[in-house]
Amino acid sequence: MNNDKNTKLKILIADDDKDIQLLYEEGLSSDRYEKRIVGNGNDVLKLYKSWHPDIIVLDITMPIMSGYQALGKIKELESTGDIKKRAVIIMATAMSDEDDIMDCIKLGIHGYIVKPFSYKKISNQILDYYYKNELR
Amino acid sequence: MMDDKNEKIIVSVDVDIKELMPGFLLNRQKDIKSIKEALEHNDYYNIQIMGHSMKGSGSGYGLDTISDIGTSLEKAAKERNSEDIKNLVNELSDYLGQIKIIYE
Repeated sequence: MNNDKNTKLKILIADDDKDIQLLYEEGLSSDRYEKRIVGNGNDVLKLYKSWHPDIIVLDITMPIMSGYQALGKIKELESTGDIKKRAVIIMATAMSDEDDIMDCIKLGIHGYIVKPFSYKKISNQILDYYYKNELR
Repeated sequence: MMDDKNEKIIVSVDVDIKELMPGFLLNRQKDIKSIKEALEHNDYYNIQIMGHSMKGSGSGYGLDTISDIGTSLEKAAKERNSEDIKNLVNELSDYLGQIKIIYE
């Protein structure tokens, strides 16, 4: 975890919808973050290994590799020790997809965001999950 | 008597996303074309994906109606209900034609 609240938090966001990506850009435009935004789970796995994000936000429904599939791979990487710094994992999903979220909770996530979200509130939501899990 | 479709629907949206709005609305216009094409090919899966996407983004841009239409579109595509899909595309088209956004 990144314990220094003055240093930038590295946040990796995965969502294939360009309109949603722009809302994340707007909502997380503070200097508090260093952001990377990708459109599929494959890119998440590459950046998890090479860029070492503090937070990963994963949309469940994505092409090539879904957020759910990526979460499974992330858990594998973490269990084999291939990841030196574990990230706080937050899933993003539509309101009606409660079953999907339950599946993700079973695999192990730190929180979830319900879409559509308010870009004005998204930063606080993410930071809440981050600091709650930092204290554990 | 005035045709309802000529009446403007006024929606207030945060000025912070003013620059993003034209692109978002243009993408929904593209969705209309894409959904019609997909329907011609009975490609209900892609219609479902487009509905899902609208559902997840509309209210984020302050346009709840887009999310509502997306929700219904996703459901209609899952049920392979072409009549409902056609009606929803018309509804979306009308909405985009009538909407007047005020930035505050």
